[in-house]
Amino acid sequence: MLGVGALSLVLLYSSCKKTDSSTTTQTNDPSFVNGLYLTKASNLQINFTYGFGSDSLVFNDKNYINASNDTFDIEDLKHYFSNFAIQKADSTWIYFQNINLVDVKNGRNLTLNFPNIPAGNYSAIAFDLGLDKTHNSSMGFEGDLDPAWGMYWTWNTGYVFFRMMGRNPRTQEGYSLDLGGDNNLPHLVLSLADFKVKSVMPQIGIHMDLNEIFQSPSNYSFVNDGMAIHSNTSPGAIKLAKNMEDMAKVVTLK
Amino acid sequence: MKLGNKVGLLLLVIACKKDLPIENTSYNPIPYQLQLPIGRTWTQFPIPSENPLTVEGVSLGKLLFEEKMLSANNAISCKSCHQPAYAFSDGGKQFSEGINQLKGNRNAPALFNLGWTELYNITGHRFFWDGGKGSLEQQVIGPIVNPVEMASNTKEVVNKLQNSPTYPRLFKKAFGTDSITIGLVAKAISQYERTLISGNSYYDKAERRERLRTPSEQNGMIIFSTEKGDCFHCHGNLSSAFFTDFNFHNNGLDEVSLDSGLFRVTGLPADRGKFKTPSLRNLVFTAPYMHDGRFKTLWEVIEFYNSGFKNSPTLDPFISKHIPNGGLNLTPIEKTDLYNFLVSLSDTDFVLKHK
Repeated sequence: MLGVGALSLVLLYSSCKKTDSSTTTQTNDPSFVNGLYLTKASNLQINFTYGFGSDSLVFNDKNYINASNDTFDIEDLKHYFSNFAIQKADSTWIYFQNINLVDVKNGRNLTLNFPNIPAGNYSAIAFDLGLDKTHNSSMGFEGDLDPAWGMYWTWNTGYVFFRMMGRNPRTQEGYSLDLGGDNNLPHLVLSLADFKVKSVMPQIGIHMDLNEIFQSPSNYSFVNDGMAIHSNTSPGAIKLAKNMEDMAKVVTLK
Repeated sequence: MKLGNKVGLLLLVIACKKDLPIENTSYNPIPYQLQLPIGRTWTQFPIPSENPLTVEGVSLGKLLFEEKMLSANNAISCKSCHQPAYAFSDGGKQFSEGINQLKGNRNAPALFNLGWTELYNITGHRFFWDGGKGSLEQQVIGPIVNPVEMASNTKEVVNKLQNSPTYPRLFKKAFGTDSITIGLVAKAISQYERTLISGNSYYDKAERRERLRTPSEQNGMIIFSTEKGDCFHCHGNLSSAFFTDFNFHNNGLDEVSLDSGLFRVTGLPADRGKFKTPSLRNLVFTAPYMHDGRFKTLWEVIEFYNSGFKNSPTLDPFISKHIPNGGLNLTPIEKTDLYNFLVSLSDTDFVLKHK
């Protein structure tokens, strides 16, 4: 009985709000110049998809070829996302202070929700593919920073930011890329300006292109740069981290 | 003589209890306080909301774990092959004997720190060497009905327990009903298994500064946790208390696995020859080693990882990356150091506490 009462109250409340917002939303609003436009505090949902160039990501059963002509499959993919932020029309940023360990193979954290985003006009979204210095050296060890998740570097400072593993299907030789390090943190900024969306529950779709890890600005080759990267200071690690800065793209906004 | 008196007294107490009025068997379970080891890495693991730990449930679970009526010929219990003195493994046997001396093809795994599997393994494949079951409650039924283990069936087990003079009363106390089901049997045994926590090894004592590591142990720890020995990728880094990643890997035992491992469960070719990473805690009690118990000693295990692993399409990349160097190339002294570190993960209090 109580439950039903509470529910109808919520519905009533939200329907009121709807009327409110429709009156304040004007199609010719001069502030609505680009990107995401929120008329009231709202939940922002970000969905991630992964692929390799124009190919879909299939674990184990699909072979991929990078710019250096290495052929390999992908058997595991885990990484941290942190410090999501969106940029308001006045160029200031709102920071979400999230830390999420994504396990792509097992579908963990492929959707992130950020509640109570203030009304306004947003032009860009940014995030780190890894952990900032404070969290990388924190001794909190809780939640997604729990070392039992297997992403904690015992003999290096901090955490593995990005792990990708697989093998060459012909030689069966495995590769294992463990990237991290405070000086090797890819920071990605994506424009929302190509989109014009007004939504009560905005959803941003971000596509991560794994092919970009191996190219632009510099090609990475398993033969020349190594099958195993387990150090944040090796030239291969620095190359990969730089390449990762253009691996994400906003593909949908609704 | 003294012992005889005690037994007599015990029987008397039980006999008295049987005649007690009904309110003593009422359902009023006491929440069980789990004793977690000290240290921040021992986080609380999830307890299923439909099976909270209670003092009555845990003690019933222990009785059932030791109950031979769970087998078809009333000859073996869970404990027969998971002996407390061997950290709940089978006392050096490669393959355990089920009823009528039948043998399976897997080594009885040690049982401890199982609750954390349900926290850190986020797939549906958690228990048994091949990940056949996703929760302890589901796992428990397997050995009861396996023809080479206890070879019983759920109906028979429930009938025997229901007709016993003691069990209906104990189920009533633990679960509020004296109508026994196999689900309640599984719940009780799972409760008991969740209380089997081992975290007081020589390693833990050193972590708490209650003892000093020997120089050899210290060096072995460095070998374990660096690319030198490269044990940590699967057996967990030192900031995690469990010495397993709770996941499945092909560690290179065979070029072609006779036992397909996780593949049996998922049907995915990529899972061929993958088995659950066992915890390295209590190794001195849990010989022989590997899913098929092929290695009798820890020395054989260390030499296997040093030079003996085999390549195959599903060999873990963490292992295959050592192929270009022909293995780990540890010196005899380094192997001894690693051995000494591994041995320090033994918790004698755990095996003495559980009988």
